[in-house]
Amino acid sequence: MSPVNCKSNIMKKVYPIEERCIGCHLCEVACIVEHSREKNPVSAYFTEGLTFNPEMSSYTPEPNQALADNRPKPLNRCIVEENGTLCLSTNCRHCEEASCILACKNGSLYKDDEGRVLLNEKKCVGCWMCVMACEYGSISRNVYIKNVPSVENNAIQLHCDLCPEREEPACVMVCPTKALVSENRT
Amino acid sequence: MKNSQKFKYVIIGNSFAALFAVESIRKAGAKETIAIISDESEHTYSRAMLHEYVADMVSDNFIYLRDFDYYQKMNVTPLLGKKVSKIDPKSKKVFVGKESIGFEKLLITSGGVPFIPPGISGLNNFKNVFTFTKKKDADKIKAVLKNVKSIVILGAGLIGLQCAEGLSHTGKKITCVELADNILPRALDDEAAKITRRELHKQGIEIITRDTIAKINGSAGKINSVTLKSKKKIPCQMAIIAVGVKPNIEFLNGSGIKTDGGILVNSCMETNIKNVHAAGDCTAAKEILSGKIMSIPIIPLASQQGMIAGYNMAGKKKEYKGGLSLNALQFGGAQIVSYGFIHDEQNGEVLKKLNEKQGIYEKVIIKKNKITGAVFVRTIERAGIFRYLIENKVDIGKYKDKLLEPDFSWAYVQNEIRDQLFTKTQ
Repeated sequence: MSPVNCKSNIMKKVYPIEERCIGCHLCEVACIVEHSREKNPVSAYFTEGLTFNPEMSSYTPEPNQALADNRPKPLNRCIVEENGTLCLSTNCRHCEEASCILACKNGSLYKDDEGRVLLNEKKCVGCWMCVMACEYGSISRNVYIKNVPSVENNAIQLHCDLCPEREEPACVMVCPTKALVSENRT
Repeated sequence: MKNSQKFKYVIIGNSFAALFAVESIRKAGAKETIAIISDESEHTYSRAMLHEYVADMVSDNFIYLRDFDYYQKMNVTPLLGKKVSKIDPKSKKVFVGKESIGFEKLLITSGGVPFIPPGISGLNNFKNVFTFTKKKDADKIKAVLKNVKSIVILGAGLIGLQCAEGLSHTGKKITCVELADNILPRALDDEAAKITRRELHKQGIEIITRDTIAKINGSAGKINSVTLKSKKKIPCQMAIIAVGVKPNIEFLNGSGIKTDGGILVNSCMETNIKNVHAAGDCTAAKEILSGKIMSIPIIPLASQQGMIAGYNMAGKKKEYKGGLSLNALQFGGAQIVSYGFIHDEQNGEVLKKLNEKQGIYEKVIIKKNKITGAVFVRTIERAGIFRYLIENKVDIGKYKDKLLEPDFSWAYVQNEIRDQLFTKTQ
């Protein structure tokens, strides 16, 4: 499980085709649903990670409560980049010489045997080094999981895991215009 | 350890640069013997985790960089608790006292050693005065912490302030004394420093700048106060000297290995001596924006240099394009990321956004339509995009006014860049 020692890099990665993207954000929805517990959009968006607020008679985001109850809200790992009509969905490139792994201050990021860059969620201290280092801007914060509660606003990092439980990543499957493809381009 | 051993690859050091070198040597297909020699007996750990470790903010397993069976898995012989006293490149031997270890390829990743400012009177006379670079230091501090009420830390640079930040969680009174005009001069500009000082103040950390410790005072063999150069006296039961580190290269005197504030290396991490490489905090290497040779002792560069050194040592040519100053820090609730030269605004265009009340700040310095420095406080999502734009000297002229907008994204940059990053083979 050591960073630069993956046996092969033959896995498929997700590539965007910006000419086909219509900015519908369904990739983000699919990503959230895939990483939810119930795997359905209603619970993924409206109940998971949220807390019922009796005064408002609805579910509201209360990260600390969700944290205390160990009910993280599922978050999207792909990001839709937009500038007027130009749009595309980007995600972690699972780089061969991943800058995030080189910057991680306690070895929480690693490459699995197939070359996926993954996070040891129990070890990440939320130091931001990977967010700073990733030249693709593909890393965000998962405010629903933290390992160092004494640090204010602590959160572990979050990035695309290439949907290890699926044949093909959820974002690729759902894209209505095939603006995301899963290919091996090595 | 036998009187004389020989390995194909010998690495001095057991931290980031060393580990990534081991991995790239193996990834390049080299199966020969590797030895790691370190003066510390610990399993490989992260110095950057020491401030969280010392304050018991994390359990011990958080600080180790690799699993405990790492050396076995990677087929590396760890020679721990051995301090290299001399290197003789001619006979291709490294000496630990009288014992020698032979090598075909040597990699020096000796890191940095704490810089102790000269002229502190009484420095070695009293107990509970520590440095803060090794796990041993943190363990010593932990052992006496319960009897301590106030701590004075000399140095408000990265190590000093992070030490202060960590220890502030233990309920002790902390005072940081810094010689320079401001805190963290390499990582923060004036505005970011102001916001950071507010956060530190909120945590009960007192900062004194333009001053230093002149004298350590004590009784019954233990420190009980420090006297600053300004004559101010601060009672304390512990002092930590955390002024900074300098490259650990004194042991190279007489070896013929060229140094200039750090071991000089080329883009393949080779020193002036054939078969001797160096990587990490002990080196002085090319800075990517200016092309100047300088020491930038930070984790991402140490890791990258180690990785590149390893590949080259194993016969696979790889080049180091140069290092950019990179910082990611947190003090109190303020998360900060900075890149490049953040003070040098001369002849540059400065874009700034400041929300003083909420402590949100971003600044970008542009020269000839290229970003040369950037600071982000509390608004650091997608900061990595700036790393790319800065390191690759991208002409941002056409979308300059969008850089600090909340919706700034890859969709604003040149088509060729998006193509390069997201559609070409990675």
